[in-house]
Amino acid sequence: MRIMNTKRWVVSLIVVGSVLLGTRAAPAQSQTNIAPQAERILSGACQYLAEAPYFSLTAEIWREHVTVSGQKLQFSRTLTMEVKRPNRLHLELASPHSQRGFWYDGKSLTILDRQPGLFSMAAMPGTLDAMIDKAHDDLGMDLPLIDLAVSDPYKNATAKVAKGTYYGLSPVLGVSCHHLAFTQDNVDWQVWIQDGPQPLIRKFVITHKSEEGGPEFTALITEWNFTERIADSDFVFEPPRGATQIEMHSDQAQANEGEHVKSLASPKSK
Amino acid sequence: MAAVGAFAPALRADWGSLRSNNHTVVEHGHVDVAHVHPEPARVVGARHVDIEAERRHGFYWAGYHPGLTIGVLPAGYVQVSFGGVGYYYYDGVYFRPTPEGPYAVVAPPVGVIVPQLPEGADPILVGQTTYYYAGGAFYLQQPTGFAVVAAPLGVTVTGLPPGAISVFIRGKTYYVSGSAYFLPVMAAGVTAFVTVQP
Repeated sequence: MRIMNTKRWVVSLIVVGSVLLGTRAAPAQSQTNIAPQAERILSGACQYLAEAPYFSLTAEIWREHVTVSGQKLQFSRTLTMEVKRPNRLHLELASPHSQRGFWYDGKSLTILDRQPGLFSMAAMPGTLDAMIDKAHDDLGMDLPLIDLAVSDPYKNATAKVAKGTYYGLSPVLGVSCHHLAFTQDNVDWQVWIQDGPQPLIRKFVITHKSEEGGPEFTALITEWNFTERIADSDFVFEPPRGATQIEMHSDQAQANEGEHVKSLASPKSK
Repeated sequence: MAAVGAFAPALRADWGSLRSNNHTVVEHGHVDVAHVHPEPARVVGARHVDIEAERRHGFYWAGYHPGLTIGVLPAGYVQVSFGGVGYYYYDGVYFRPTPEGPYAVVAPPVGVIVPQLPEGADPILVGQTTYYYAGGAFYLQQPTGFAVVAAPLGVTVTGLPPGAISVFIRGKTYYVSGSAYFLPVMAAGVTAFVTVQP
C-alpha cells in the first residue's frame, strides 16, 4: 500500500512538474513587439484623434514613383480633410495637374474631378470605417491619410505591426516631435508625433518595401483644427455648374473588361 | 498613364493608407501589375499601378498635340513611313514637315512601325493580345518594331490622347481622337477612359 501510494505520489509529482516545466518552456508570446514608449505615444495620439468629434487638417503629401530604369521621382499634392464622426468626410486632393474632391455624407460617396468637370457617385454604408473598406474593396480606392479618420486609429495602425521602436525627438516643420518606426510584412511606416499636451501627428511615412525600389508615401501635416465646427453642408456634394455625371467603374467591372462596355449604365448630365 | 487590361484587375490611384495595405493581400496581387518593359518585352517586377496625372507630364510626348509646331526636331529622332508618307518620330511623337519650315505634330499614324516604344508605354492584355498604350496611341509588337494600330474597343486607359476633344452624343460625354472614342468613367477615384463605339 505504502509502495503504491509512494508510486502514485511520484507519478503525480512528475506529471505536475512536467506541466509546470512545459509552461515555462513555452511562455505566452505577444504577436507584436512594440517598445512601451512607442506604444504609449502612439496610443495617446490615436486616442486624441478618436475622441475628437470633428477635426480638419491640411497636409502636403509626397509620393515616390520608381521608373522602369529605377530612377526615383517624387510628386506632391496638397490634401485637406474634414471629418465629423461617425459618418462624414470631405477630402480635397490638389496639384497643378489634378484637383479632386471626395464627399461622404453617411449614405453615398461622390468623387469630383474638377478640371474636366466630371463626377460620380456610389452608395455607401453608414459609417466611415465601413465606407473606407467598401471603397477599397469595390472601387479600388485608397484615400491618403484615411487612417486618421477611422474610429479606432490605434487598432487600425497596429493591426499587423511586428515591431515598433522609439527613436527620440526630432523637429518636423519646426515642431519637436517623437519619432516612432514600425515594421510589418508588406510595409514599414514611421510617424512623428508632436511633443507636449496635444499629441498631434505631424509627419507620416509609408515605405512600400515589397515593391521594386521601395517607393515611399510621405505626408507633412501643416495644420490641425479641432475647435472650429464644420458645417454639415461641407459634407454635401453640390455639382458645379456644367459638371457631368459619369459611371463609377468597379473592380468587378475592371476584372471583366470585355463585358465592361456592355454593362455601363447611362450617366446623367447636370 | 496606365492602361487596364487583364494585367491590372484593379487600379490604385492613391497611397498613404495603412488600412488599405492591411486590408489587402501582402503579395500585392490585387494592387499591382506585372510591368512589361517595352523592348524586349520582359517582366521586370511588381510595381504600383501609377495613374496620377502628375506622372504623365514627365514623358516627352506629354503636352505635344496635333497642330503644335516646333522649329528643330529633337535629337535622336528617326524617320518612319507608311503608305508613301514619311514622318519623323521621337518617343511617341510624330512630326511632318510643313511648307513654312517648322515641323508639325501629327496624330500617331495607324500603320507606321517604330523601332522603340515611347517611354512609359503601358501593356494592356486584350484576350491573348498584348497592346501597348503611350502618348494616346496603341501599339502592337511586330518582328521589326512596334506598329501603331487602331484603338481596341473596351479598354480602359487613364490618359487621353493629346488634343482629344470632348463631344456630347445622345446624352453622354465622350472624348474623340482620330477615329477613337473614349467614354470617361470614374475608376479607383480618378477619371479613366474606356474605348467605345458610341
